[in-house]
Parts: sequence; structure tokens; C-alpha cells
Amino acid sequence: MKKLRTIFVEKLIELAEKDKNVWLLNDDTGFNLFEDFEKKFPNQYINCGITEQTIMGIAAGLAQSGKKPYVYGIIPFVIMRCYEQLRDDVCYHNANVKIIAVGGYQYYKFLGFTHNIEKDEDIKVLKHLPNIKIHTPETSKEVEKVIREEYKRKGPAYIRL
Amino acid sequence: MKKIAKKIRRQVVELLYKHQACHLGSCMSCIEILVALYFGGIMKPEDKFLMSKGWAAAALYSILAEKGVIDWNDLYENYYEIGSKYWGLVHHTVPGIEHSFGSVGHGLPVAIGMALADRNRKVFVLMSDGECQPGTFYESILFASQHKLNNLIALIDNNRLQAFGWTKEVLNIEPLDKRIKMFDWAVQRVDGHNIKEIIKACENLSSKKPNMIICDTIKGKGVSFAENKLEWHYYNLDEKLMKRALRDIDKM
Repeated sequence: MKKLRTIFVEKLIELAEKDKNVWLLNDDTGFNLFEDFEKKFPNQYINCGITEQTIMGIAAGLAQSGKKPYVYGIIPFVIMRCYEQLRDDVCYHNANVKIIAVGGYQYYKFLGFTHNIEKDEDIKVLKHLPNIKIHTPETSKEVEKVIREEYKRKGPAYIRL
Repeated sequence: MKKIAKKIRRQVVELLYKHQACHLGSCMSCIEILVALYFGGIMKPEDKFLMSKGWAAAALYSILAEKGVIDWNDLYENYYEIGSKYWGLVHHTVPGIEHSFGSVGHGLPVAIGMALADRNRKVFVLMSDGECQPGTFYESILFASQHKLNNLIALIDNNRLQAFGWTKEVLNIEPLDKRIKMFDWAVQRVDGHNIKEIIKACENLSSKKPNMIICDTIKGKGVSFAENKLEWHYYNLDEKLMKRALRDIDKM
């Protein structure tokens, strides 16, 4: 069975083929995941390095200029390290930024506290922010559906895989 | 343009006095920078300006009123009032402002996003010297040179005073020009109260590297009792001081 994150990248490639405003940003995480995307769309992919706070600001600036940035990373890094940027620059401005976060109890379970979250810790942290939609798809079909629907909707989203 | 700067200074004093608002010092240090950008023929219609030092809102709002983007009377009546669009920190509810700022260190990353999105336009961002301290500053400095964002121009209102004291005594950033050059940026340093110098620097940008223009300024410039005085980050004007401030500005 394909991993949900692989499904995400496949769907994103489909979207990027039709829409050059689809951009993918990551924070130096996602080993072996983005090669196809980068090869096909070198001008729409940036590994931003380990700069999550800055990435959120960059994503907001891109979105306010008509781009559709998808920011990929491990849950604590893409929502907690950059929480204030997410709150002010992305959510308050209703910027069209989609956060794709991985972790969710299983992938990093042997690694301990820093890479893992307590049950729904992410949702508790995010649910008070303005404008953001929270999604926790669990099957391939659900991932495909949420990526498709969020692409059509303007505004910030958190998609946990 | 000197006349415009004088008018903007007067308007800032009027706004801050009427609504008993703070940040006089931060407004006065960046007037010439804003006048140069908005009245010096530097920005083309497609270019962007971001006011990262959002606490100098009274200065930017006054500039926008002078440009005719917003109505001065509306601003004068409603600035700094709860529920008004003219929040005390630069806000995107005001026409002519795309992004709200107030928390330090947010402007440079957003400017990078806007510069990346369209490399054929320029993105100007005005920051304080205190904003050269948070982590996003150094992350952004690395990112902008890595991606050769030659259409990014960071202007630093280097008034050398941050909220709690002299920047060099709290957390030194100098020599900022030498340090930032080491990160492969093109850096110029100008007298931030000399409009001609600021314009000249903006016309002398690198086409290969991200640009920084360090504008050396005086906090509270033009208001004798507020110049280089930390407390005028916080204090409000009473009637006597308001009149004295206006007299000082007239003498400039």
C-alpha cells in the first residue's frame, strides 16, 4: 500500500501540470519524496532549508502574489516552531497556504518526544487560529479528496497525513 | 520633498496627540525614508512596499493620506480607535497596505515570498534595527542570497535604539554593513535623513545580489525633546509638548 504522503505528491504533480502557480516548499524533510516533482517543475519547488519560521512568511508572501504554496514538513516543525508566523502572516491574512504535515503517531514512533505529538495535540494548537481548515484524512481516497477540494478553496489549510 | 517630510512630521504629531498614541520616536526616524520611496519616483506601480516596522503606522498612514490613497480627515478622526481600520500597528484593513505588521521580524520573509513570486518587480521592506536580531532575520539573509533575490531591497531604519535601550548595549548588530556583505548581499549605507542620498542608493542597486540599504537615523528626529530618547517609544504628547514639537518641526 502506498504511503499517504506519496499519494499527496502524486496528486500535487497532477495539479502542478495544469497550474504553474502550484509551488512546493519543504524544510529539508521528505527524503526520497520530491524527486519527481522537482524534475518536472524545478521552478515550482524549493527546499528552503531548516527555516520554518521564515518559510511561513515566504509562503504568505507567495500566496498574496497569487501563488499556491504547499508547505511540507514534520508536524512539530511546520506548525509549532513557526506558530506565530502561521498565526499572523498566514491565518490572519487568510493566505492561500496549504500545510502538509506528517507524523501523526506512526512514522516517528520510535524517535521519541521531539518528532511526535500527543493525540490531537496539533489540532488543539491550531483550532483557535482564524480561517484555517483542519483535515486528518486516513485513507488514500480521503487524501485525494482533500487535496482536490483544498486546491479549489482559497485560504489556509492544515492537512495531517 | 523636504516640505513633504515636514508636513508628514506635523501630521504624525497631530495624530499622536489627538489619539494619545505612542511610538513618536519610531515614526520620526523613518519619515525621509518613506518620503523618498513614495515621492522620489523609486517605486513603479508593480513594485511592492512592506512596512515591517509596523509600529510607525502613523508615519505610513500620513504618507498614504498625502498620496491620496486614504482620506486625511477620516484618518485624523479614527486613527488608533478600537474598531477603526486604522489600528495602531500597520494593518491591511487600510487601503494601500497589503500586509499587517507589528511583531518584529515578520516583514523580511513575507517580502522574500513576494520577490520570489515575481522577479520582474522590486519588493521594498522597511525594518528597524531591532528587527536585525530575531532568527527570521538571519534565516532570510541566508535564503535571499542563496536564491539571488536581486529584486529584494531591505531598508534598515537604523535609529540605534530598541525598546529597552541602545541596540549596541542590548544585543549588538554592528558592523551591520560588513556582516551582511559577508552573507553575499549588496549593502549600502546612507544618512537616513537625507532624501537625495536614499534615492541615489535606491537607484544604485545590485542586479546580482539582494540589496540592503542601512539608513543611519535619529530616533525622534526633528522633535528636540524626543531625539535619541528611548522614552519617546512609549510616551504620549500633552498639549504643551505637542505645541513644542510643532515649533521644532517648523524650524527644521
